Amino acid sequence: MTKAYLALQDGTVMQGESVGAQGTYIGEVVFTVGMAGAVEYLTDPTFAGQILTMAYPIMGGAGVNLEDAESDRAQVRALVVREVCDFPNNFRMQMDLDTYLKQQNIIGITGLDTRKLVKILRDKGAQTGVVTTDPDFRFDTYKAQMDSYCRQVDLAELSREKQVAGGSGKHIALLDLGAKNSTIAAMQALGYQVNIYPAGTPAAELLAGADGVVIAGAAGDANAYPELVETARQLAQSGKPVLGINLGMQLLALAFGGAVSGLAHGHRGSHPVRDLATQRTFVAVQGSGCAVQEDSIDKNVMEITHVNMSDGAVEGLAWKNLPVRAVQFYPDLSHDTKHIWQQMQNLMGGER
Amino acid sequence: MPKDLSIKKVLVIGSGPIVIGQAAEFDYAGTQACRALKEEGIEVVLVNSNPATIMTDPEMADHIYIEPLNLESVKKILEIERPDSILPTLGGQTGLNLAVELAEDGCLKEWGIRLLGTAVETIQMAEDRQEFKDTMERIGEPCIASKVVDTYEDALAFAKEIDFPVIVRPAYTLGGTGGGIAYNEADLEEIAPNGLRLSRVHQVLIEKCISGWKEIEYEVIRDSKGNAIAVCNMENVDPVGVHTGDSIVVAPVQTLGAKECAMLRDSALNIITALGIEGGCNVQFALHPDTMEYALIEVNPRLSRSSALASKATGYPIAKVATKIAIGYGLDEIENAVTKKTYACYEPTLDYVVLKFPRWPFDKFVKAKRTLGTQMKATGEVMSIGNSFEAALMKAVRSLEMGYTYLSSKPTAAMDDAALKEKLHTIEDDRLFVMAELIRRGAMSLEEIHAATMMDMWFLKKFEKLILLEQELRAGDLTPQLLRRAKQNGFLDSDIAAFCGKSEADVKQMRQEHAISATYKMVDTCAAEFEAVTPYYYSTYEEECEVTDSGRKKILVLGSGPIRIGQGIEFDYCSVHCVWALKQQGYETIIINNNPETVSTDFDTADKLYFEPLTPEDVENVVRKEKPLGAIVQFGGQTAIKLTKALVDMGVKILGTAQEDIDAAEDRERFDEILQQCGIPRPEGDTVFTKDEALAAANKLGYPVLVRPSYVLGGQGMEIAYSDEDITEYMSIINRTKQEHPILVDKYMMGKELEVDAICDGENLLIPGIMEHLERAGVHSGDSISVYPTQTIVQKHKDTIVRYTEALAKALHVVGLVNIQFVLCNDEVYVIEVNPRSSRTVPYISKVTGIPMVDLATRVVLGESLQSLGCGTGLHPEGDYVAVKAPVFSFEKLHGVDTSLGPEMKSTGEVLGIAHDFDSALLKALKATGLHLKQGGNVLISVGDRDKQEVIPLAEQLESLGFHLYATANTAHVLNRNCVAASVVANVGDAEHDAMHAIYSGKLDMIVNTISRKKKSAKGGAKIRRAAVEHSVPCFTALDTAAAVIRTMKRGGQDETMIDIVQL
Repeated sequence: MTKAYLALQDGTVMQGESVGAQGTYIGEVVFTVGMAGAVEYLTDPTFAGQILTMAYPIMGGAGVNLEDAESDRAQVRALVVREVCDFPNNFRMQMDLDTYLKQQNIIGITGLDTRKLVKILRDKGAQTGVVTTDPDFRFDTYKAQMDSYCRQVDLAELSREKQVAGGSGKHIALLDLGAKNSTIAAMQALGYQVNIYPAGTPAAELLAGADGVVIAGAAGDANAYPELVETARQLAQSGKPVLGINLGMQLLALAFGGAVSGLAHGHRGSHPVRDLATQRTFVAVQGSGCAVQEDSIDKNVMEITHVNMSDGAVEGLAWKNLPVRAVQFYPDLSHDTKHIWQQMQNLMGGER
Repeated sequence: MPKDLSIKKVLVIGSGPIVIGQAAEFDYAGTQACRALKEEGIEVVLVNSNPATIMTDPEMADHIYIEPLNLESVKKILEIERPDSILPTLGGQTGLNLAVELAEDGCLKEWGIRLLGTAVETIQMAEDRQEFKDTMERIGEPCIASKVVDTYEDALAFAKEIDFPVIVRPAYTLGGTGGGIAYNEADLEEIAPNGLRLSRVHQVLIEKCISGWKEIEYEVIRDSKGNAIAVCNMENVDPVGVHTGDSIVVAPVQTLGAKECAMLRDSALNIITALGIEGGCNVQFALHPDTMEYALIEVNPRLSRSSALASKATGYPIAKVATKIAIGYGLDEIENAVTKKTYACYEPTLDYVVLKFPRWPFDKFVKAKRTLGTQMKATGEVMSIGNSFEAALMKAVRSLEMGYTYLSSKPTAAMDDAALKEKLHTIEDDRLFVMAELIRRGAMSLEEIHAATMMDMWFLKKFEKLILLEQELRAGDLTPQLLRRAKQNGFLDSDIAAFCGKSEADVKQMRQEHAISATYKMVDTCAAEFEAVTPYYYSTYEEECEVTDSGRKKILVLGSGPIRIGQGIEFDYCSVHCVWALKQQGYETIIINNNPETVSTDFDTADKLYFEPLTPEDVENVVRKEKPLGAIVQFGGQTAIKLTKALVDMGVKILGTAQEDIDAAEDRERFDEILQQCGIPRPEGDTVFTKDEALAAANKLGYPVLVRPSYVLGGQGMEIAYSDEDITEYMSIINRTKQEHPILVDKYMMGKELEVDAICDGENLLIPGIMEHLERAGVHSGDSISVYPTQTIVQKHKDTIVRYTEALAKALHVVGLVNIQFVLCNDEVYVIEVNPRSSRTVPYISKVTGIPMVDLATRVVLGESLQSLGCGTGLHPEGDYVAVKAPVFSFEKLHGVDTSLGPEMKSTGEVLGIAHDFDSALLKALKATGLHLKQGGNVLISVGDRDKQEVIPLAEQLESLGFHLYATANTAHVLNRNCVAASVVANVGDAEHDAMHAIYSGKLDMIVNTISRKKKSAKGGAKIRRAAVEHSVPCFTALDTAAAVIRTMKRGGQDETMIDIVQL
């Protein structure tokens, strides 16, 4: 059994066993409390370039089925989990998790006290760390590298190439800034024709022939993309219905004078969200380390439609004079969030 | 939505006696509900016939009625109390059925009383199979091909249409009573008519059998605004086919991908929404193992056993939240009491694995059919928490207190391969151990086991992993790494030592040297995402231990483990009260227990809860961490008592009666000495180990004799022997398991049994009351009808009892509670048994006398004197009302169990009847047990030779009550010779129209049947008694019970008023 190490910038060092690929990766260490699924997390653009810690101790019991992937490759670069199931069993399984980790060059560490790690990350926030199978591991060897690390997300890499995805109904133009497969699948399932455009596509091209626009992205800080803020502004001002998702919401908010800043505790699990109009709460899948600042919003331009029940963070916006809405979470077709798509449909004239 | 201010007074309906399928989980739910209502300033009225519960305690509600749970008495209570609302969803199926009856009766409408939580229409819809199916079809949720029928002919026709095997499910029964799987026409003929009879609406569902599919449960909760969340999902390790109450259950689900989880979660939320449920709801799914196809098995629109489990598994108090919802609050307004940061609209997340293991009564009912199916048979369950499936499973197995410490049982280990393989094909309680043994021997591949059991390979691999580790340990080379791994996987030091040929001390030392020690993690509802305020703990072998030392004075209270026959909810009542009393005295309380159904394992009962097995090693780990200043063992039943010596050995001070004295009460010779010193007579007796010694002792004493092992509970393994044959048979059975303690052989004295519970501070004594048993000695005290105050005992005997109690309590240096059983025989009082601990009767006697026994006993244990507590000493004056405690059995769930009463306890629960005279109290108690006594009709009398003379006057009285008498040949002969007219009915098997036929034909309204010593009639008698159970004919198996009931029927009860025990 090969030893593996995990170290955090704050000096925490934990020892475990290697799983998946071997090597060294330095990145931001985050955690999720999600309990089911494996490839869904590993391919989620939310975690692009991050070291993901699973709070739930067992991963991979149902193996890996690439149909469940959220993007075409692994986004997580290193995985921290107490136990990787070595005998998964599910009729849909294509391979076991270890094989997938090796295939995707994800460096994994198991057999360590993950709850202890989660508590550190909870209390101190996400921080830089290293996962390595270096047999001569010493904290000092990696300290400087950790200190100088800064997470950068290359949206171009997360974007899909220009393509059309299924559906025969109305056309939705998707500005893909790292949209999740499940977001595209939801639109397809609703019957829309989804025209996917990569980051950098001019607004005019997106708008041509579109009945509505979705700006969806998962990772990163919207402040880093001024040109995308401009695209978002143009899309919103086009008068066509626009739905911003996650990074998409942050870009739209910035485009209309809002501010986006980092959260003390990133939202990375399923959190309840309150719809301020209906006063209803529902559980929504989250995936962000940043949020739109409540006090930055010009109430004449837009209103807050949703808030996070744990820290009151802004989870949804609606523009007053434009058919534009945005949510910080990922709307899907579940009991909880399918109404977000219904609202988009209404903006688009009620028919699909 | 905030609280509904129009709700000012609420009636909470409890679930009644503990029976199989409806156990302590409803005391837990009801207690939470009452507290949740009271903290809102709402006046709470409670009705529950079960006196052993915490919810029926004076502090739990403003008005408490321990009355029968039937339409008649609840209506009377409504009339007296006139609440504005009723909360029916916390009292199990009993509460729900009662709510439907009340609504149908029209009284709710008339009095303007509304049902909180879920609407009657919803309850009816979920319970009525056809309506439910139609509704589900309307919202597109798949059901299993099924049809509701009300005749056997229709059942058969439909079964043929959809093909056997089919499942028969009666409507409106709990724990699947009367249901079963029919593989062919013959099976159906046996099951369906019985199911029809047991159903309140005379309906059964015939359903396509989907055995082998995965069984998945979702606990969902919804508020009146429509907000809904899934609290927890659970997977049955046993696939569809075994009742979920009899399945090993794991939370969260293990073998499903995220897609399947999302699909089923969504379905559960759609269902709770479509049904409009306001509160908790349990949804059971069957999921095809190789496709995404699923089907609904069942929806319970109320709190259930599964919701109690889900609550304990996640830390999310479902009952409390459901209650708050019922009075108007939204999920987004109810604070999560564990984190104090989040709200009830958060879906809990787990970072550990929870396992539930059922506790079956087959150790007591050795002759019962052990097959598991759609009819639940477990009396209780344990829950364990670990950070791996393996650790959770190992902890669960040893929490059962069945003698298992790892995946091995003695009987299965002794079986040969062929027998094991054969056994694998019948689903019985020990299937896990059969599989483990086959894996251990390599006698069957996992694939073959999977083919036979349909159990998911994931689970089989986990079992195999544990066995491989066991074999690695047996290989001998115990490295620190291997030791750590073994501990992480849940092995005990003693087993590790035995596997690798070391001593337990060696293993312990090695652990110490390498710092391999238990570390405790929190259950916090959120997988550490938020900080927790009132968490509870489970052990792991990891880096960080989350327990912090408060620096306060701590006391450890040991719980009583799973509910089993002989050790029921009453011990939880005692543990909880002890904790409350300790808290009040300023101590930090620590409780160790593993029963998810109980109040003691609620997150806010003790300051710290350790959800752990109750073995010496598990307890020692907690002790090392907490360093309590002492431990209290006298409230946790035999489970806690058994740990006394281990606690002393680890240096923990036992608070209350000392270990030597506890031992003295159990050790025959020492106890005899004490009795002699005190001049107290007891039935003569001897202690033996072997069959020959037993025979010699029995013959010396003269038959009949009472034989039993020492250190037992609930009369486990106790029998009356009338001959050498009996002794030989008994000793061969009892010696199947190694006896550490001797067997006691006592002269059996047929007299009146009396019982006291007392509190002693070492100097003085307080006896709240003397209880008299209706049945003579020989019927286990737990199965006897117990009456307070005594009805037939003269003052001089009462004085003697008080004197003996005082003398014994002092001689045994009792500090705290003591329970003493006496027999009054030939005008002399003898002592039968002394238990220096709390007993089954403590909750009941506390309630009816108003003396908070556990509270006082706890203060005494802490060093206060009875005098300083101002509660008086000596025998407390008798009250001016009579309380009758009657046992309740679960015989209809346990095929093959003889229902006759004897020295071995058989009841699962109890009810209380309170009135101003004995007859009224007895009638109430009998009604509360569910007995339907008709004044007249046909009675069958069939008694053993010893009882024939005694039955004559009873028969006469029955005749004068207007009964027509039938009797089996010999009994009829004796009756007729004594001028009591009785028609002869052929003995079982002697003619076509025999006694069984009489029962099957439905013409009997009562049966009096006692055990015969003759082999043939004994068999016939057992059949009669079983048939009586299966056809719900009241059957008395002790003449004393029959005599009392007949007398009372004759006199009738005068007092039918409902009594609020808070006012007593």
